[in-house]
Amino acid sequence: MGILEIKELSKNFGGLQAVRECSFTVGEGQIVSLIGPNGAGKTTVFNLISGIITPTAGEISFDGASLVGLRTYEVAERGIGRSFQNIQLFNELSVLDNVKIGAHRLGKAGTFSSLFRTRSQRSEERETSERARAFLTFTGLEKHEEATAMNLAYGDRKRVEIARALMMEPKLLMLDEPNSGMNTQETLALINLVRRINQELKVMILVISHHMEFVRSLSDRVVVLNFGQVISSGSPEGLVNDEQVIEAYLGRRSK
Amino acid sequence: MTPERKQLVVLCMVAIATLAIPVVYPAPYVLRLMVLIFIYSILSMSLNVLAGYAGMISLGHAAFFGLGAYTTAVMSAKMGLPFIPCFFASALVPAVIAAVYGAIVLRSLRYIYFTLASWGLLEILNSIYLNVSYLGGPNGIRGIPDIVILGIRIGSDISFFYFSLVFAVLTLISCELLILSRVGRAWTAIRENEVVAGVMGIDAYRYQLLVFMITSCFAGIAGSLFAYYESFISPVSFSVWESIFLFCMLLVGGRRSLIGSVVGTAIFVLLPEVLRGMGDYRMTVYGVILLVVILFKPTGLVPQRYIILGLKGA
Repeated sequence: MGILEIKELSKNFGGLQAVRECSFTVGEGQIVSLIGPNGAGKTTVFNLISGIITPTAGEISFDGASLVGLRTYEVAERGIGRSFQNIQLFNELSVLDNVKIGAHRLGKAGTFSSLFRTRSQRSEERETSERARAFLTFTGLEKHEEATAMNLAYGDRKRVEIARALMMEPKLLMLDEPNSGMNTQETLALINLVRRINQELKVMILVISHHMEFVRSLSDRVVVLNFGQVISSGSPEGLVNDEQVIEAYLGRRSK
Repeated sequence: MTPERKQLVVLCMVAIATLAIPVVYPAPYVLRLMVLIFIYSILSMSLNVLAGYAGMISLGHAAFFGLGAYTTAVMSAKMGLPFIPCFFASALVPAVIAAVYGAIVLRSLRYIYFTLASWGLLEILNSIYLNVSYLGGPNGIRGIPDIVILGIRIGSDISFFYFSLVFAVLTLISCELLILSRVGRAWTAIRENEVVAGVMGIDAYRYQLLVFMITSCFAGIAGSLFAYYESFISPVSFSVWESIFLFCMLLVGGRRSLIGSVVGTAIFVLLPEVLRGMGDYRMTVYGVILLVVILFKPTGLVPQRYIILGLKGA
């Protein structure tokens, strides 16, 4: 259980094959990195898993059940959280409210319990706030609780996205270039954070990154995409010497 | 003094002043304006939840207002039913129509397309009021009796003042409670970014349908009170211009603030009286006010969320 399995997944946009017969898995407790040159189809794979777009062919299963054809909120209900490459926060809301929205799938309070502020609604509300604050502390954002999301620094907004996704208590967390635009120090802190999410919160992680140090120090396994196809996968050490990977990034070696 | 304490003090002062109006200055003319402010506040606050918080720009709000008013008129004036059933039906009928219409429209329509579809509903209902002879056509329905609950007649201006005030306050509190809840957060999330809301586990269709129904219910309540107060209704009160007028109240008052909605309502109910001497030129003044506010205070006169009753979550 607790396995994301992708089998021969394809997505065409008109004549463009963005993802071609892509297969890989993320196992219990693992951190898997998805790497590849720009335009390789990494974010498309994320969007396919999230249900934002539907695959042309292939199968995505999670915990043994298919995700194909589910709406985004149904995928979220199965326990898959994610962040976005170009940060997608609720800009006008406070950091705390942003994170609280992540708890939606765990809540039960509806119209009537909210109107009459029933005991269960109030205790749910209190618990949501407490958990939100705990995750803000976990991600190092406790100082920014009241700030409006759009006023935060870039790196902080990236972490608000992670805190918001953690509020969902996901079994799988998908991070789309979490360290883009971060300096070395911030990246090191992020590596540490991702590792803690994996080990302390027992969350499997699928991460897209271009940062080799990030990928090498975190990943159990690396999947390399090029032109929508998996061209290689394996341990991070092995890939550095893989001819196909070198070719995808740097071009063919001259003989 | 903390800002919240300050808000509370201001709010209490306004509340006491409002309650004292019928005692200090019981002119029927003043009371009438106040009652209209209360009834229209119910409309503008609920529209604020729908448009300001949930981001659904509906031109159909006056349609649900009308639906509530016509339900009351038919049931009380034509069928002779007492207040309680008339009132509940007037709240229920708009909610049911909103549910049916929303279920069809919200599956596929968003933004401006939803706006146009909501306008469509308004025109459908208006053409029914105008053409069905049972509903009086353009002459509307007259002879709506006074409210009588538990043997008490709400006939005088003073009694109606307090009666409608109660409903305005209840609307304010209910809307505030909803906005601050898990449900309200889902509405805001959908407004800000529907795709991301979905990724957070929020079923946008379900929550948009819900807010459409709830706010239509409030509009129906306002309609029922309006019908009882005026004792006569006709289709002109529920045209698309009424909906647009409600948006003016919203934009001037503050589209993320319920207190702002009340302020905006007061301005637009009182202005016609102040500008009475100007005749049709008063529309020009409305236009100028709207422009000035949008240009210099785009979030409205009461931009910040007023936190009432210390209901700030936990």
